[in-house]
Amino acid sequence: MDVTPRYLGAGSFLSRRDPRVLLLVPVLYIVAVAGVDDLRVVLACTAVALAYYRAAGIPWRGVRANWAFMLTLTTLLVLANSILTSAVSAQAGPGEQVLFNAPITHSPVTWTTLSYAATVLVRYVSLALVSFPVAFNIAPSDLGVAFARLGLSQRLAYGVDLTFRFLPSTAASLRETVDAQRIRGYEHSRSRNPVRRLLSLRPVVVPLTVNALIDAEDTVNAMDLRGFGGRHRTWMRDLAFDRTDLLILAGFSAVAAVMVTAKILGLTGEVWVP
Amino acid sequence: MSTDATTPREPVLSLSSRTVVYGAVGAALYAVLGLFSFLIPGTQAVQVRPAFALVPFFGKRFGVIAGLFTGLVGNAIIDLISGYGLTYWNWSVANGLVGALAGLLFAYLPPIANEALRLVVTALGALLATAVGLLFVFTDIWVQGIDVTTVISINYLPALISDAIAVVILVPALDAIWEPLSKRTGR
Amino acid sequence: MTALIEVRDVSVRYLSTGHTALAGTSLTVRPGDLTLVCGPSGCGKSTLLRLLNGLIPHAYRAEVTGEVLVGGAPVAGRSIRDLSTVVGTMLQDPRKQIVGTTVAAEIAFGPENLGLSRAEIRGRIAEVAGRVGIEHLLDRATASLSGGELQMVAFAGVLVMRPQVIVVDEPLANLDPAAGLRLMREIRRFADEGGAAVVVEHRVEEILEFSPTGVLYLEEGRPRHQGPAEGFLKVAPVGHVKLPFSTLVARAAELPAVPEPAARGSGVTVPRLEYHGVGLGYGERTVLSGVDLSLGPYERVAVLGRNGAGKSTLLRAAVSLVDATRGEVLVDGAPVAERSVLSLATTFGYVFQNPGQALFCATVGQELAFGPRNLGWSAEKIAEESGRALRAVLLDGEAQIMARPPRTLSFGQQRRLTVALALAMRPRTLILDEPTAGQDLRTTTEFMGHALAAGHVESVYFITHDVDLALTHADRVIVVDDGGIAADATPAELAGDEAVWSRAGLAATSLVRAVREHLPDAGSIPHPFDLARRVALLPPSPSSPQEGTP
Ligand SMILES: Nc1ncnc2c1ncn2[C@@H]1O[C@H](COP(=O)(O)OP(=O)(O)OP(=O)(O)O)[C@@H](O)[C@H]1O
Ligand SMILES: Nc1ncnc2c1ncn2[C@@H]1O[C@H](COP(=O)(O)OP(=O)(O)OP(=O)(O)O)[C@@H](O)[C@H]1O
Ligand SMILES: [Mg+2]
Ligand SMILES: [Mg+2]
Repeated sequence: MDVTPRYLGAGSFLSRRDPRVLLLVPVLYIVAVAGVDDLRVVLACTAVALAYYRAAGIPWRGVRANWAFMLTLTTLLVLANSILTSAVSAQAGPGEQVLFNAPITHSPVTWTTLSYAATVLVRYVSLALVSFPVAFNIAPSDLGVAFARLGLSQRLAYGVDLTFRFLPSTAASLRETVDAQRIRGYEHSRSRNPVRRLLSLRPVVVPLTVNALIDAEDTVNAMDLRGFGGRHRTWMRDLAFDRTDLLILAGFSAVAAVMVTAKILGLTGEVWVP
Repeated sequence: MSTDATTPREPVLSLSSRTVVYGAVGAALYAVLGLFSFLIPGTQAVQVRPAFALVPFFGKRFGVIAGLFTGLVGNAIIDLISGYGLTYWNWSVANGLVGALAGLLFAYLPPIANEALRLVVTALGALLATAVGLLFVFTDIWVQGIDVTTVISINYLPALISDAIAVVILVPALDAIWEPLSKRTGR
Repeated sequence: MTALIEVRDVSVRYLSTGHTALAGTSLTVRPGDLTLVCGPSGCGKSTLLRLLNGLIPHAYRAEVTGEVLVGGAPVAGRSIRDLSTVVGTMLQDPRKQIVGTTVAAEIAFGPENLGLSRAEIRGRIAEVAGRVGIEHLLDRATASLSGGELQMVAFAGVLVMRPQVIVVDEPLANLDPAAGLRLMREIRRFADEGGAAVVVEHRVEEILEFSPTGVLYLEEGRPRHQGPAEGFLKVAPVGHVKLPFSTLVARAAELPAVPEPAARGSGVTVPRLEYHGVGLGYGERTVLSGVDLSLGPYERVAVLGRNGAGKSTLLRAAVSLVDATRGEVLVDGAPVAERSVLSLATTFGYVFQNPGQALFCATVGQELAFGPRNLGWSAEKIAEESGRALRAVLLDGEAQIMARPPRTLSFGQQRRLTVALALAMRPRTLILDEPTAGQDLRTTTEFMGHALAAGHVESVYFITHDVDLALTHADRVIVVDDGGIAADATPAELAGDEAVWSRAGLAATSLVRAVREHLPDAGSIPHPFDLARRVALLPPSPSSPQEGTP
């Protein structure tokens, strides 16, 4: 049972960046593309996102499954959205040519509908492009300090580190608890009833949780006894933005600023029809 | 620092080392059970994420911050380990809100002596927190430009239904076991 | 010289329960002191430590009367954080107090909280790691360390804060004897170099080897004895504290009579559990290989070995929790892989090390019924077996026991309950994984007595770090080391084999030395009390080495 995030982009351009850059870029990117309806604009942003993703150096083999899952999920969502939605068809110009009627709801599909669906799909994909590096290019041990230096409370930031410390031991206790119950003849419930099935999870979930909570009391004491919780805390990992980091952040901030302005001016709110 | 020797109860938004540790324990439990529930015999075919019940439970028992942390960080770590980064960030926030709301709700509810009633209230309170907290996924309407109907029918309702089953069954079970223990352990 | 810690006539009452855990206790700790605190479970040892490090009154809600001075100032006026630079605390289970994902991060935790500079922290880590000999571990993940290594890392994490006193709660409970000795040696050195230490421990004999300057023996929250170690040995209650064998001999006249162990059946030839060239491991990692072993259906077998040697792995294979990567494991002559979970569950009652691992029901009654119900037994049969199992572990006397939430029982009671859970399924062989870790002598003796005497149980295989327990309660001892079986002998044979005691994470106790000297012929070992009585009657021999000193 492996409970550490896979670190795939070792040595790449993005892996050498300050982890705060990798956390801030997706935020700026969301600000930029949120609510944009013009496919051309979203495609332009996606080009930026793609360049960013390429710099992460994530090997394709390692993430094939993730992309497949992500794309399937998003495609289904977008299909459903195009079928169910009435808003887009309403946006279509009065005399617009109906290409075909969607199954089930029989709502008319026009170039506008298609363009809009493509916009949504591309936006999801581009968001994944900027946020996959968070999963694959940040060492888990850097997360706590990154949040602390982003202004989160020192204690909560340490909580992130502590969560990663608890992951392997929790996984081990899960294994042991399942073993301990198996010895008592615990086997899976064959019932189709979801309530039954959930009830049959209690022998594992309850002792696992209760044990973790009882042990936590000692961890709290141990942390207090080693001076945890002061206002100032040194983090052994030293984070500093270098010129490149600042350039990247400035670049994405500029994109976000331009896009927000365009949105305010109403330049990107129209669905683009070829 | 630590709880004062005389305060009987921590303030609703306190951030002591207790809060941090319980939040981290909750997040780790949520992540591990969320990722590996297939290890538990019988869960392969459960279409719900049973571990979700931990989120309102931690909120109720250990406060707003611990609940928020459990849901937000726990779900983010599941995404991180499965490799989606922050793509579905609003789900993590929604999870966190569920924990925080459960914390708030139960902080202002008077203690209930009747055991059966307490279990029912626990289940309903957790359910309410879940229903309200998950509303955060409606942000997809503005961020991703999805229609309200789609968010409700594809995102919100399915998640609510499966999480509600887990919450209604497992939260009272966890809470009932923890009740006698909370009085003995603890400081 | 001024005292580092002064406790004057202190009483502690926990507000959550209203229970007075400590009364009229005084303690003075000066530089160079090594103070041993001992006493039965629940006597207030941990409460005393919480007073010294400030958890009481700062973190626990408790009413304290009397005076506690650390470095000349009352603790009530100082924060835990401030106190942590004077009093360093090591809790009982290192697994619970480690907060770093890597060893270096773990050691850095305290200094980071104090806000020291990075250069200073790096310097301190290097110094402390060198001192306790864990430089090679610095980059390792804490999750991958063995119990002994973890304990050393936890110790380093305390030392790095440069405390003047260290207080240690049951450091030996989860350690193999050799690792325990290493840790105690470090603690002794800390005291010798101008620091001071207060050690809470049930394994009194092991601590006495490090010549503590004083002993505080508590009973029900009150000091029963306080003073130098020699005086303590003269008055310590024999059935409650594990004393060096020489003390037992000296006090042979007071030793209580011990009941004869129950005789076991025999004559059946098919072994209960057989290993034929078995290899065991997890994923890529091989833990044990080439294991050939055959355990009989009427044997009491103890398994010894260092932390991480593979003791638990070996016995887990019996119930199919680990599958053999090569070779074959047979249960009652048939391959274990062909047996169903349920048939294994009625052959072996397996009791895990941590009693809490399996408890999930609202009441003891439901908990007891869970296993039998999985076997499809009728309600009457379940009730009958549950009652019988509770009686076997002496929990039936507890008021309202069937309706109690299991986790509200004391730790020792929970341990006994887990044995009852196993017994309720009527297993023929009981497998116990470290059944007595961290328990006092009386509980240990009672517990093992009941486990071994339970009616339908034909054999007991148990894993332990307690050498004396293995020698006195088993008819066969197996030592696991270096990825295989390092020794397989009767207790007396094993005691006689001098070579084995310096390897495999073991250390010879005074009982081992006594057996080697007085019972050179192989066979079973009598109860230490009986042996002590016998030895006391012998004429004193001039060559007899002084027991109880290293
Ligand atoms: N936080 C607490 N609240 C209330 N009572 C407590 C608390 N901690 C301990 N006690 C009670 O105080 C008494 C002394 O407990 P303490 O933990 O000091 O014993 P101990 O000697 O360390 O025992 P053991 O050897 O089992 O660790 C016990 O009766 C225990 O139940
Ligand atoms: N589920 C597991 N997955 C991977 N490795 C494991 C697992 N369980 C144990 N190990 C490793 O196998 C080795 C043997 O472990 P085992 O638990 O059998 O040791 P042990 O002799 O019982 O030690 P202890 O005295 O500390 O309980 C150890 O190095 C341990 O880290
Ligand atoms: Mg104790
Ligand atoms: Mg073991």
